[in-house]
Amino acid sequence: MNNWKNFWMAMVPNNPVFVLALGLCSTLAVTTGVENAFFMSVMVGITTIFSSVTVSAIRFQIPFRFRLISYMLIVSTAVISSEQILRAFYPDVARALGPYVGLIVTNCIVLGRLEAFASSRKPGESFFDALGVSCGYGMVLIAMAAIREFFGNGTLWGLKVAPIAYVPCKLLNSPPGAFLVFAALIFLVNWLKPYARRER
Amino acid sequence: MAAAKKNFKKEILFIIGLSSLCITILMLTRVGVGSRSEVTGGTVQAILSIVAGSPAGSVDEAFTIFNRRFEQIRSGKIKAWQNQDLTNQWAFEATGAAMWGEMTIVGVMDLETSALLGLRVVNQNETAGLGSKVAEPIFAEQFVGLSFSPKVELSRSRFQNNQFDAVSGATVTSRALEGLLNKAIEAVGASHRKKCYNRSAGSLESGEHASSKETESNE
Repeated sequence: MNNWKNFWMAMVPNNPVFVLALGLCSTLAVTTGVENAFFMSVMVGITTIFSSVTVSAIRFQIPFRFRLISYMLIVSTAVISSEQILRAFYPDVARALGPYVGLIVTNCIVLGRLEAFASSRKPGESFFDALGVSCGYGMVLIAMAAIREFFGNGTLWGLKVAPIAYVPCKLLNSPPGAFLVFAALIFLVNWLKPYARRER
Repeated sequence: MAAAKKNFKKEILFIIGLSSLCITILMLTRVGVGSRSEVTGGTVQAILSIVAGSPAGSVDEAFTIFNRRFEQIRSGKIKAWQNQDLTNQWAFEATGAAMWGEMTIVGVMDLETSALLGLRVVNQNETAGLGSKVAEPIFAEQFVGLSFSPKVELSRSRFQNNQFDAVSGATVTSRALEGLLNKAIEAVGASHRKKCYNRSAGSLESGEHASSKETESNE
């Protein structure tokens, strides 16, 4: 039960994008399509889970002075191997994501969870925490991508879903559109937050 | 003092052990993946559709036909493949900066007649509605039979057969495409000359086929 509480806490009340405001760079850059957003969140999820579990499994062996360099080694190993696999099997997605897959190494979400949670918990707990964080990240990414792709291009995952009469608003697909959508969503979240707290 | 020293040694050993473990994992991935990420399905389909007139059925089929017919000579930002049957026919894929992001063009050229057989823009990220028109067939059509001696030229009026029209309202994109195409033509010409030289030198000296696989990454 405690594990699922960790999962929920990491996913919604401490959502990495809306509440902690981490990893915004990749959030804004890759959300032009649902497919890109999905693969990006899968990559971040794999990296976070792998490095969290590894770090918490060897947390007593990691020397305190060299902890950051150890984290970086583990994170970059996970990122580079999963990037190679993505490049080999989904080359078009890898091309669309561009440098942002490699930049997961410096993603604050991964490093933040390692430093704040995984370095002092058991592997099982940090697995659920990492899963929650990556689900929260993926949720936000896919929501943003769905809004941007639907209104900006009239498609979802490459399929035409908007009625023919709808004229796509190309602005939402361009980089400034990411800021507009993100601002709108964060406004919505902050507006709804007090209501959620009052119920509890 | 001695304890601190021992501790430090332990820490260093830990870091060395961790990094060698990471290196092993990375090498295993590299071996498992191989060079599958060299060329994409879109590129292969585009080349085959230029050469044969119609794209092959599935991506796997296209890869089989492509690998049988073409040999990769150059890799990097500009990739080049030589046709095994018609050694003057070269296919290329070039990636370079355009207006907003990177643009990838794929084409086939005949070095004997110095003419392009066709050109496709397989990946672009240009202004929607203006620059993105370079990916449309009506723009690609004008490259069929375009001469490139000494090089292709973007021009307002097409007097000579090495000149092509820009997309209206997308000068930067068209200029980028011109530069990219010229770079690719130059690189393919250099590869071809080197290949010819190697072949003649090899046959004179030892009669052995000297393969030259350039793996330089330009820029």
